Amino acid sequence: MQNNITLGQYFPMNSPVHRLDARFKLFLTIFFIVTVFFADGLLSYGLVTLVLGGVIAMSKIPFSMILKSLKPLIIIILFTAILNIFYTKGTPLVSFWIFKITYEGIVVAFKMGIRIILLVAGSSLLTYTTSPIMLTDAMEALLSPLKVFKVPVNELAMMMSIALRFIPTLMEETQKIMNAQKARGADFETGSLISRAKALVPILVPLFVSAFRRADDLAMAMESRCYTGGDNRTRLKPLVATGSDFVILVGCILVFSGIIVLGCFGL
Amino acid sequence: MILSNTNQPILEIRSLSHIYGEGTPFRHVALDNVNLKLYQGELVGLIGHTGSGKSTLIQHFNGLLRPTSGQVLLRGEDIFATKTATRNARFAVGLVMQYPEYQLFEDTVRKDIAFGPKNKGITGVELERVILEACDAVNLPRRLLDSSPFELSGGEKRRAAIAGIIAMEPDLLILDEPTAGLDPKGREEILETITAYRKNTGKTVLFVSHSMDTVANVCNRILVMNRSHIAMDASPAEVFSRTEELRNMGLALPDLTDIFVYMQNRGLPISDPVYTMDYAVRKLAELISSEKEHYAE
Ligand SMILES: Nc1ncnc2c1ncn2[C@@H]1O[C@H](COP(=O)(O)OP(=O)(O)O)[C@@H](O)[C@H]1O
Ligand SMILES: [Mg+2]
Repeated sequence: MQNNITLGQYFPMNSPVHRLDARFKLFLTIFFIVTVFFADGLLSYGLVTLVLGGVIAMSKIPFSMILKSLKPLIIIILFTAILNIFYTKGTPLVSFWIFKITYEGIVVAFKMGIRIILLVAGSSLLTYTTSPIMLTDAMEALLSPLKVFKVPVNELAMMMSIALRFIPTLMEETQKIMNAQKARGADFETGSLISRAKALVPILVPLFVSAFRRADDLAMAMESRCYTGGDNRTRLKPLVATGSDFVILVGCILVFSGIIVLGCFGL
Repeated sequence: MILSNTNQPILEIRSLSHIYGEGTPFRHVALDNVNLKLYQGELVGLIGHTGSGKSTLIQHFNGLLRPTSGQVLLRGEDIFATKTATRNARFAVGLVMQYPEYQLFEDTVRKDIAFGPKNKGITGVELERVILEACDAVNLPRRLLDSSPFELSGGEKRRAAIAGIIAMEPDLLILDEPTAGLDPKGREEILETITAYRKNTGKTVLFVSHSMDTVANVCNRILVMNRSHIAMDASPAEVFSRTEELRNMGLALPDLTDIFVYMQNRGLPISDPVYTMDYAVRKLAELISSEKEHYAE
C-alpha cells in the first residue's frame, strides 16, 4: 500500500547528498563501483567502507532503509561466502570428511561478502537520494556522447521518463482494481497455481483497458502541445552544477583514485 | 435480551484509526479515532471535502483495509477475528468503489454481474435470479445483459457495475461517490436506483456524495467528515442548521438552503433550515396564506 506513492526507493530529504548534481552523483556511483572492485587489502576496504558510511550519514537516510535494501541479497551473500569458504585452496584450518576450510577461503569469503554489501549499499544510496526524473536526466546527460553514433538519446530518455511517470499511476490503478474485485469476493491468495493465475484476469483486463486509455490521452495531450521530439528541447529544471558540486566531484575522484592505487598494491 | 437485539447496530466502528505510510516521510493519519454505528434500514449520506478520509473509512467496512487500531464489528462480531469472518464481511457489506465501471472485465454484462455472486457460492437457477433482480434493481434493460460491458454508455456501465455488487445480496450497500462524473440525467438515475433499492429491500444504504443537494433530498441521516474525524452525525435538519461550521469545513450548503438562509437573514420569518423542495413549498404557502389573512383583517 505504502509504496504506491513513492516510486521505487526515492526517500526525499534535505541533505547535501540529495542536493548534489544528479549527473555527478551517477558518475561518482559508477566510479565508486569500480573502486570497490579494485579494493583488495584491509586498508582499501576500510577506506571504502568509511567513505560510504560517511556519505550515508550525511544523506540523513535512516540506516534501517539501507539495511532493507540489503535484505533481499542475504541469501546471495551467504551463498557466495559459503562457496568461497569451501572452494578456495590454501592452508587448511579445519577439515572433516570431504570439506576443508582454509584460511584463504575465509578471507576471500569475507571480502566477497563485504564487496557485495558495499556495491548494493552504494547504488541504493543513489536511488534513495535522487528522484527518478533527475536520474533519467542524468543518464541522458551521461549517454549524450552516443548521439554521435545516431543513438536517439533524447527519445530514449523521454520514453524512460514517461514510463517512470506512469509506474506509480499504474500501481495505484492496480491497487484500486484489486480492491474493487476483492470487494466482489475475488480471492488472490489461496488456491492452486492455475486458479491463482485465473484470478489475475479480472485485474489485467481493466488494467490494460485503462493503460491504453491513458496512453491515448497522453499522446493526444503531447500532440496538442506540438511535441515533435528531437534535440532542441529545453527543460523545466535543467541540471545546473554549482561550485561546491565541482569541489565534491574532484574531491571524490581524488579519494577514489587513491583507494584504487592502494588496492593495486594489495593494501 | 430481545430489546438489545433490536437495538444492535448492524455495523459498528469502534475507535478506528488508519495511518498510511507509517515509518516513511509520507506518514498520514487518514482516520483518527472514528466511532460510528449503522442500523438496519438507514439511508445515510457521507459528505466531506476531498481527502477528509471518506474512502478510507468505508474501505474498512468490508475489510479491504485493516485498521491501524480499532475495531469493525458486523452484527457484533469483529470482521478481522478470523479469515472466514473477513470473507463473510466482503459479501455482507457490498462496497461499490469510486468509478466502479473500471472494474468491468468480462465479455458480457451477465457474466460480469455474476462474478460476485459466483465467488459467494451462488450457482444455477439462484444465480440467474440474482442477476436478473440486480439488473432490474439498477434499471438496466435486460437485453443489455448479453452485450459487452465495454459497449455500454457511461451511465449504463456505472449501473452494470453497481448491479455486480447488488447481485451479491449484501446486507449493507455502501457506495463511494456513485454519481461522480455522470451527467445530470445519469446522476438522477443512480439516485433513483439507490432510494428505490433501499425502499424495496429495507436494507441499510450508505453513500458518499459531494452534492449537498443530493444528500439533503434523499438521506435521513448525514455524516460529515472533516480532517480524519466525523465532525457531525445528525439529521439533515440539524446538519444544515450548522451553516457556519459547514462553511468552515469548506462545504457548501444545498442550493435551496443557501437561498433560504439569504432570505432569512433579510427577515423572512421562517426559522428552521429549509433543505427540501417540498418543505420550502409548504412553508412558503403557509406564509403566503397567513399574509393574506393578515391583509384581510
Ligand atoms: N493508498 C494510500 N496511500 C497513502 N495515502 C493515501 C492513500 N489513500 C488515501 N490516502 C490519503 O489519505 C487521505 C484520505 O484519503 P481518502 O480517504 O481517499 O479521502 P476522501 O475519499 O475523503 O477524498 C488523503 O490525504 C489521501 O491523500
Ligand atoms: Mg474518496
